[in-house]
Amino acid sequence: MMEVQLISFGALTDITGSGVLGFAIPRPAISVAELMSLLFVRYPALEGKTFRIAVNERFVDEKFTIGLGDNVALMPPFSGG
Amino acid sequence: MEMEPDFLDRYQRQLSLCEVGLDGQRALRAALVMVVGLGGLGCPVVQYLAAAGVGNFVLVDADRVSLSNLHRQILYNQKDVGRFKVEAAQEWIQKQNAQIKVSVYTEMLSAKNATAFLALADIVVDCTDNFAARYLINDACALANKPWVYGSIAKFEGQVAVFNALMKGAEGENQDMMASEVSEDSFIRSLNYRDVFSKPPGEGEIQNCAEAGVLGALAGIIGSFQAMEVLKWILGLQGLLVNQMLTYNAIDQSIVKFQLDNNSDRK
Repeated sequence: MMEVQLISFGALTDITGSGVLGFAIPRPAISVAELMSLLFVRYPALEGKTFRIAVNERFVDEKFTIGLGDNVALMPPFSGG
Repeated sequence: MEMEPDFLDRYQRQLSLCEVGLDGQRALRAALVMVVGLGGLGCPVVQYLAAAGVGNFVLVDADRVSLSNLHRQILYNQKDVGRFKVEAAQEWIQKQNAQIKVSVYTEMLSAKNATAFLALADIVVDCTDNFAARYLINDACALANKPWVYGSIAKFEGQVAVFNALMKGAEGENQDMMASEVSEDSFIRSLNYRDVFSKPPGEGEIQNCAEAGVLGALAGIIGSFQAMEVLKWILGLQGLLVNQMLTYNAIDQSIVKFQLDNNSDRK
């Protein structure tokens, strides 16, 4: 099973669940843009939500390549004070 | 700036730190910290910075204390309900130390007043509770070349970062200094809030504390993190949260620091 380790933050855990989840990817290396498309298929409620993707605790852009076993975080902004 | 007459006794427990000492205490006394928002985050920020000897504050908040604030805005008590938050906070600071200078503004930060307010400050602390204010602080600090300490909370989680701080260039170590000590040519600014989230979310997408709920201790924790970053900045200590964002989860007591690159999602 080709997977990345997915973790959500903030209210996104209501959509994906909390904790670290294995998320299947079709090839050993995919772009962030492709992962987003797969995420929206699996979790349609994510589409339109505001969040950044971080891979192995580094914020990345859509062109970044994610590899097998990478930690992928979905990070929304928080508002409260 | 003159030190308080009792400062050797008052600050003895922190003067003994080699990272503070007399020079550090003088730097704290001379510093001017602007705190925007005197709510859940603003209260611990003001309390710990005043206690540490920050000599000058500018406090900005248009709100009055309400009963529902008291569970997490621990600077206030029942007698303060109905008062302007900045005035209650000013009174608290003056009781703590009558030598601290506090200016208060009972208005919201806006595009009209931001430039004037920021010109007064060495560093700004974002203790607001809405995105419009945070982006305003970001953009105004970028224009005014001021560093600012971001903090935000949501249910049991929080985020903290130091944005737009002056740092040594690529060759040197990351070490931030008070702006008066540096020349711009060898220094660069660290990344800012728009390098993380380039645009605010849609109306109603992200809940605030009134909508989602929160325990006061979370505001205490994240506000204390912010106060600590301000102290580190004033004292010139290592480890400032620049080009990174600290995230905290109170349920499993975990902290994860995310690194920021220039690969922002800015469009």
